Amino acid sequence: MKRFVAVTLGILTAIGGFVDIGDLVANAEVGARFGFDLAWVVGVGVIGICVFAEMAGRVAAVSTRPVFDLVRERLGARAALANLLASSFVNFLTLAAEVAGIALALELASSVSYLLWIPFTSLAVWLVIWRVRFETMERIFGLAGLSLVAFAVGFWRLGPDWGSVFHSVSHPVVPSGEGHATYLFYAVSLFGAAMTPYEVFFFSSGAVEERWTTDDLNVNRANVLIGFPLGGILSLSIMGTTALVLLPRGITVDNLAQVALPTVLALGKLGLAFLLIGFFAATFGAALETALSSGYIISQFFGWQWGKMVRPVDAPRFHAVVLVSLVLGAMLVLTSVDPIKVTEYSLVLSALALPLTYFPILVIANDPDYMHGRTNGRVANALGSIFLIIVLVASAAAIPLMIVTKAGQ
Amino acid sequence: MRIRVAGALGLLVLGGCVGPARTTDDYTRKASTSVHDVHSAVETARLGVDAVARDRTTGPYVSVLLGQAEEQATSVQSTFDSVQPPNEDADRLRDEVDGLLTQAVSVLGDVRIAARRGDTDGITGRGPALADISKRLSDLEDRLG
Repeated sequence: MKRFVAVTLGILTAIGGFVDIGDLVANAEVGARFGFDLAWVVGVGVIGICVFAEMAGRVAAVSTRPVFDLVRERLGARAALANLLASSFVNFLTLAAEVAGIALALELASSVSYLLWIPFTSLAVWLVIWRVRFETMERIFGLAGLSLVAFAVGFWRLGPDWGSVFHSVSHPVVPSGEGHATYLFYAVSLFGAAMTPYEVFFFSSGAVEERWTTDDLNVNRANVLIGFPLGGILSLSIMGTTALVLLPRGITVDNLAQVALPTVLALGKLGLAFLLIGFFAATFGAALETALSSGYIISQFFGWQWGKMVRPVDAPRFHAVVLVSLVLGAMLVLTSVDPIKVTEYSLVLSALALPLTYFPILVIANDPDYMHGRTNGRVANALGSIFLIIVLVASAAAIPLMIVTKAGQ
Repeated sequence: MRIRVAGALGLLVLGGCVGPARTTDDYTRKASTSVHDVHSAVETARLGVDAVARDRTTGPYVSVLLGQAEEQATSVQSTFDSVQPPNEDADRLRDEVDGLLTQAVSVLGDVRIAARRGDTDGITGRGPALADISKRLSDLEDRLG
């Protein structure tokens, strides 16, 4: 019974923790502009993150070392440095976007400008990292993030023509008036949103922090293989609500208030309350993960003592990196740069950096010296190789598409 | 490698700037995009007003939604106004588009003020004006292609 509760809680946490500011923005934008014609990318992205998160969790549980630590050892300092620089920059932008997301959620609840909330939200994120237990932190924000299920309920209440939705999902086309390059640009952004590198660094480092062993592999699989696809359904619901309400009116999504609007119309004040809790929890949880990821990868690269569970006096550089990352992220948002634009750029740059994260995982998951008989099977390798090709194509196309389409304009 | 990255970043930064319009076609395209973006803001406001009329939303939320719609429209208008029209035909188009955008921004401003005051009747009372400006923006957008 205890095991069942643990697995269920883990799955629920994975569902609630799946969506972050990138998913909120990218799915809403795409739905309002392309309807369901890019829904297939969410499916591809969810399968991709399942394949690699399962591998990363297995690597961490079997070797008892996090992925980034092994990347440096297995692929050498130069490859790890390239990975570190790219991932740190993407982490920085993502963290800034998540901190802004928390503040934007509070702005929607209070009508006080999000800029005024930034110092408080950053401080709150740091305090939670400093004081709250790892598992408690994950559970609270993951479960509260489940409030975003309001998107799914809202989508259903909006009464979609299911036949037309399924046809659109299964027969995607480039809508008239949109160029192929723009279509592909948003496909890459959505893919980047689903496969953000910080998720894997956090997932594997968290596994080490929680002292996973091979006994935990089934729980890991259940969390990933059930939780993430259900989280993907939440992403599709976001896309669905904007496709049904905003697309027919020619509304493009430029802010978080518009992301909520269709569900507010469908569910009223109660729906709005659920969404605001969900926005807050999803972005707060992701800010925690991103800030910790920054500390993890930098500390693991330099071989410093690391860990949220390690007392700050014993891991001062790790905690200093987390704090500095938060301060820098907050400072970027306080320049009054458009947080939605920061999110959009972070998604595309995330797509650019994907191979540097996922290629080493595939290599290490096949190394018997680390995996002690738990190397990838045929299915994992076949899927891993297919997704590595997709990741490489997305990475190579990200910047050219961004330039050609002027970031999707 | 470093030069390529710097070049790419430079292009990204430039991509966000307003480009000059060299021909009437180019200027018409920019006008059409601006009208489309303001139409999007007006339609957002209409949905917000609808939510208020049906008592489906809260004051703070609708205040932010409408404030951002006005901000978006103002920003689009200011960007459009900064584009140099290439000839007299474009001057005429500029006058027409700018006039409509000004009216749209004005109505959005009115509805935002009502929302910040918590004046529900004031918000819903602007519904017809928003519908009218939305129709005119939509017609102009269709005409510009």
